[in-house]
Amino acid sequence: MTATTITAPRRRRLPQWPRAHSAGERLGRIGAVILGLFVVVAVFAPVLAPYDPKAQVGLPYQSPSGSHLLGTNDIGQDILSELIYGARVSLAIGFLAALLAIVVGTLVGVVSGYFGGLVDTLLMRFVDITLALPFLPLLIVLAVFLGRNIRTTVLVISVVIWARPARILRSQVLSARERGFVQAARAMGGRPAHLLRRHVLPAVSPLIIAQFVRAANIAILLEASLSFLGLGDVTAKSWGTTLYYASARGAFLTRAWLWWVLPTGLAISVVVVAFAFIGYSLEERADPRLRARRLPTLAQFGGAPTLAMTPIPGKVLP
Amino acid sequence: MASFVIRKAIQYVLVFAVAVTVNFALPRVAPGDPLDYLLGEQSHQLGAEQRAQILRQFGLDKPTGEQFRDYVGNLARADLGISVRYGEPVRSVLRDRLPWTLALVGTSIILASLLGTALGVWAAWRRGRRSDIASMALVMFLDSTPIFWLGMLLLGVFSVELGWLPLFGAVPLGDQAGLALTGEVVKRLILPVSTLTLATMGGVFLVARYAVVGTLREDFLFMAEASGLPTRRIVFGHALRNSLLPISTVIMLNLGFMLGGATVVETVFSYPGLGRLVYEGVLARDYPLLQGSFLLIAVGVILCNLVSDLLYPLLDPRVRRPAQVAD
Amino acid sequence: MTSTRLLEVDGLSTVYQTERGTVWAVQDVSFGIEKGEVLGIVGESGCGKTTVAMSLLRLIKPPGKIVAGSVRFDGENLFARRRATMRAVRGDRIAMVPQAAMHALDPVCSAATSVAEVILAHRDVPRKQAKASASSLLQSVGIPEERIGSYPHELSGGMRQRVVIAMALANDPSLVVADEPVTGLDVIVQAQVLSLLSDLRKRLGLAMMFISHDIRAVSKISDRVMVMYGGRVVEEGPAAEVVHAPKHPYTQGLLAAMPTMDGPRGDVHSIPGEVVSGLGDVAGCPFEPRCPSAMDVCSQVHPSARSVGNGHGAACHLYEE
Repeated sequence: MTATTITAPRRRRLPQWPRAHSAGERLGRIGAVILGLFVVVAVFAPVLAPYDPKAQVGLPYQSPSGSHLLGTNDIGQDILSELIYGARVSLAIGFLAALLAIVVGTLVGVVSGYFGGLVDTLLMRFVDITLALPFLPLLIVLAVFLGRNIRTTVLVISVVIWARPARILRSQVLSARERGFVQAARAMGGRPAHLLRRHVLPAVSPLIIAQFVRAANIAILLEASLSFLGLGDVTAKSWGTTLYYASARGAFLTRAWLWWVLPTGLAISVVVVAFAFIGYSLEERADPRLRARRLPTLAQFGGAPTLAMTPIPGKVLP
Repeated sequence: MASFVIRKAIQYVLVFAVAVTVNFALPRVAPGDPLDYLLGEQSHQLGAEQRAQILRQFGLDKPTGEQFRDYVGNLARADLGISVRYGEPVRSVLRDRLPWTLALVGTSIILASLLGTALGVWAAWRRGRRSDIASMALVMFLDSTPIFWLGMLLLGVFSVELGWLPLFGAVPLGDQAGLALTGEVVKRLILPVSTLTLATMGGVFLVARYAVVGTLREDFLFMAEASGLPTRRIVFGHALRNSLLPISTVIMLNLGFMLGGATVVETVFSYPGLGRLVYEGVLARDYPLLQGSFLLIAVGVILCNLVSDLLYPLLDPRVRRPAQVAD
Repeated sequence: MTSTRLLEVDGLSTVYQTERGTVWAVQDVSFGIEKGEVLGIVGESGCGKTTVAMSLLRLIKPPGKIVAGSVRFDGENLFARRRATMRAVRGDRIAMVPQAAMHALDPVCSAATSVAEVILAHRDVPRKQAKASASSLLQSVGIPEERIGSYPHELSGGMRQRVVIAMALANDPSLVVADEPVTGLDVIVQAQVLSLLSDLRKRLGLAMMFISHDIRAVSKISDRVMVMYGGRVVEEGPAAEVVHAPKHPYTQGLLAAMPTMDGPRGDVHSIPGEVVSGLGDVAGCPFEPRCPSAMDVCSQVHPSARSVGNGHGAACHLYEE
């Protein structure tokens, strides 16, 4: 009984872009495009916004119309302009807070993972404590007492989110350190700084970038929550602050919420989703374990896992 | 196993200690007048002599070390100070509000866990197909929405537009008792619970899916099938059971997260729980109230984390009895 | 072709649909196993031996598919059964010891629980009884009594293997399909497990399908040996004959490639070339590209099995007459 047909490979049209190899990559591209759009809007806000968001340009509580695409708020400011300018504040705070958190988190994670010993134990104790505190109440308490301006907001958010990347990077450094060529270099007497720069950092830099994206993601959400509670800088109107005013000034008593609340929140969600997509594809590339079959064991995390340490593709908040 | 428990307990005591210290230190290192933070805005109206008197009354003229000892001592007696806004001990305000938060969070965690797990298992079974990808996308989107906005959305749709559910509060105005009262309470719980559930079930879903997908590929499942075990037994007795380890961990941690997130949800819905107290404290500059609620929430989160950590050895024999035999 | 054989496989063909085309993992494979007989199936990775085992038990999942052939077990056509009823056969009358058996144990179940579960899946007995049977079964395969309640992570590789074997034997099967049961174990443990299998087979009168890439391990325990290459059977016969007087060039190459402790010193041989990918249906003999004795006809016509001795057959054009 010989076989009959051979199935010929299906013909494919030549693609124009290099084809994404996985769903993760495709998602990452979509995310990058969306984020890019928002960044452009933020940068070119003065050009794109129809009005100065701080100026009273119409009657209050107007519904969307030709001159005010998203209507006006309670003081008569144009909501669309608020939205566009809000991108600047929200994105800027998000980026800065994430940057700060990642710098600190990387330092702690790398030092802790590389040198081990007492330093490691102490630092990780610190990390665990930070991770165990409820982040939103902590954020609120810190913001209340340290002031309500942009600088404080950035600082306070970083304080809350630096710990998770620190832990994850430490794991990565630990595994990089045990790899053959690093051990060989150490055996040959390489100095720590050199080893760190040449061997360890390249191994973890993809993960650093992935963690930065995650951190920015969380930072934007936290900033929104903080501003919503009135703890952000009320003069620099971020998206969260807009929602604060919406809630406090009675958007829900009428249909005003539809154009006051909906688009702004949607903007936040879309940006965060974009970050999530990018983060997902980056993590998939940085850590092949996410594609691997077996679940990570406890040992890889040095103890019972917290949610912060479980590599969950796409999960945003800690 | 015992050493594991002790280590974890110590760790969480440390966390609590840090929370207490943060609470103590912040008003004192914050820019501005400490009296502002202890008395609220009224402090501006006081004359110099009154200020000095109050400083003595609050013990602020004593050295910091002594102040700290007093503070801790007060805490040990569950004395959290007087609420400026309510004019009663913070402790009793907290006690009144606690059950509402428990109701909200308790219901939400159960719903979120059940829904998230069920959806996750289902998605894992249908891995790669359109329904799986669709559910993952939906969850990713849900996870990305700010919780308070989600609440606002629900409020807008169901209260304002459709008028189905009440706008705020937990208890209706007016006299109702018994079953009618319960009905009203439940009605007011629906939206906040839905918000919290939707916001957190994503996490459970992703972990459940990831865990089940990972487990489904395991060789022991193949062995079970080759041994002729019934499918139901394989899925529930083996696949799910192995997946339960990370799932239960995430559920407990979700609980902790919810306690914190309840703050915004309660604010959006004007729901009289612990979280809202935090917001009220902020608004009214009632710092004792703020600090008191923060501390209580912190304790709640710590307990959840602790339980989650302790759950793992119970569920996983590899943690309970670390291998002594090398492979 | 007697019909009293325990297992009768005729013309089995199984394919896998991949993006690049159809892979014929198993092509036109026929063989039989008598009651109480041990058949060893030998070949390199990818030759289809595991697929044969999985096809037998109908454990092939998409993108794999059985496209031809029949399997008769104890006179019954297994392929005629409804899928759902195959469950009753697996683990009861035909049992499998799968590849990488060391990972085949549920980490949250103790050894006793795992074995008891297999019993309970097929026999309506009280839990306690199942546990007791599991206990004695585990001891009979060499697990000491105090380790019966141990979890897989507490057991060594060799012990885990024994647990899996106990699971396979739990319901007194007539046929055990062992897929690479000793691969990955160190040499001494290998010998122990092999001797255990041999012992069990004698005591219980088991028929076995012993799959391995190690022809010497196979030959130690098998009555008959079947050699596979590229999804096809290339040689089959009594173990002693196939190992000492191999007829197919591939078998000869396999044996020559094995370094031995005894015998004259010589160069280490290997078979040049790589294993065929199995993509599409290759006309001619699958081994032809690597065969030292290849002739013109070999690349054009597929050789059918020819008798080269008593009960010994080879699919090679060298034995045309």
